[in-house]
Amino acid sequence: MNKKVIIVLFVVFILFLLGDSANDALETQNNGATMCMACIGLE
Amino acid sequence: MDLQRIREAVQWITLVVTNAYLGFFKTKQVYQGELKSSCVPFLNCHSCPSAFFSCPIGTIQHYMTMHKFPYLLAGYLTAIGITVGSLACGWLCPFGLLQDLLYKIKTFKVRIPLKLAGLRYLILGLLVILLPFIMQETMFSKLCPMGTIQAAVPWVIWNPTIPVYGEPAVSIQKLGWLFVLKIFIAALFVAYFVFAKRPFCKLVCPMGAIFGFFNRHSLVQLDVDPKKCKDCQECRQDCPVDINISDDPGSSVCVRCFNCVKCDSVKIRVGTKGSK
Repeated sequence: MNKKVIIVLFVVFILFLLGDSANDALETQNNGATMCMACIGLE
Repeated sequence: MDLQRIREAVQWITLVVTNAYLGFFKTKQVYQGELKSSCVPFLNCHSCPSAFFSCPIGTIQHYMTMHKFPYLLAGYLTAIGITVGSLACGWLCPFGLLQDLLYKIKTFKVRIPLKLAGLRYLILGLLVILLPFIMQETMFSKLCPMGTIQAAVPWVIWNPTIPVYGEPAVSIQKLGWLFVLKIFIAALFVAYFVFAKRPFCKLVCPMGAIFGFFNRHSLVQLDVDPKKCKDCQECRQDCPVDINISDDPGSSVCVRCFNCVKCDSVKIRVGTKGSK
């Protein structure tokens, strides 16, 4: 496999670890679970 | 069954599976469960009544408004990009499907200059990252035609009373110029889809801009044998984004639909050149 791809996949792994500790999944869930005013076009 | 038909079937299945939440008929609200913590790798409005997952572009903007970096999403999109490039644009995206279907309408057609594809990066930088960061407003979502079709139109037309709150889902007093602008933009694009091949993907889509960046570096690549290529332009005719793959097999505009592999000169390669 390409060296470049291995390095990028390592970066991905680090990003996943950082995202996990920052509780990104919960933040994304909370954002997606509320109806977005911008998507509906409300002012 | 040819590859194009299989791809269309996959696009339909993706549309149905990712938007199969029917609980909204009872709750009159969007899905709020754990699946919403994951993003689909394409544009799919998370405010769509039946959407199970979050939209990656909506999520990036949300993080920008909070001045936070979306590590998990960045890792997820990078992992997809570095393995298959923009394959999700060609095989999964429902907005791509809509554009493919409308282009089938027989009428005169126009071509979009490839140079304009750089606009996508401007939109990604400005409307998805910079302006949400500065203004704390999800600027791309305010204009996104996918959001208009999937969320704004159904919610405003239906506008049920939410049982838990006893209030309407959409406050009509809050509908103003922004809603009119959204409808206008969406109508403009839908009309444009009839005349040009995937104009939204080529000119606007920030998701395509992100995945397109990886096309030249991803594990899945297209190889063109210049000895076999007769420059007949047949690949361009079959291409949903109207590119001649022999000009640039790693083009950021390519949606990796693989329609062009019908030609003997084009091959799919997984891994680096010469690797087995």
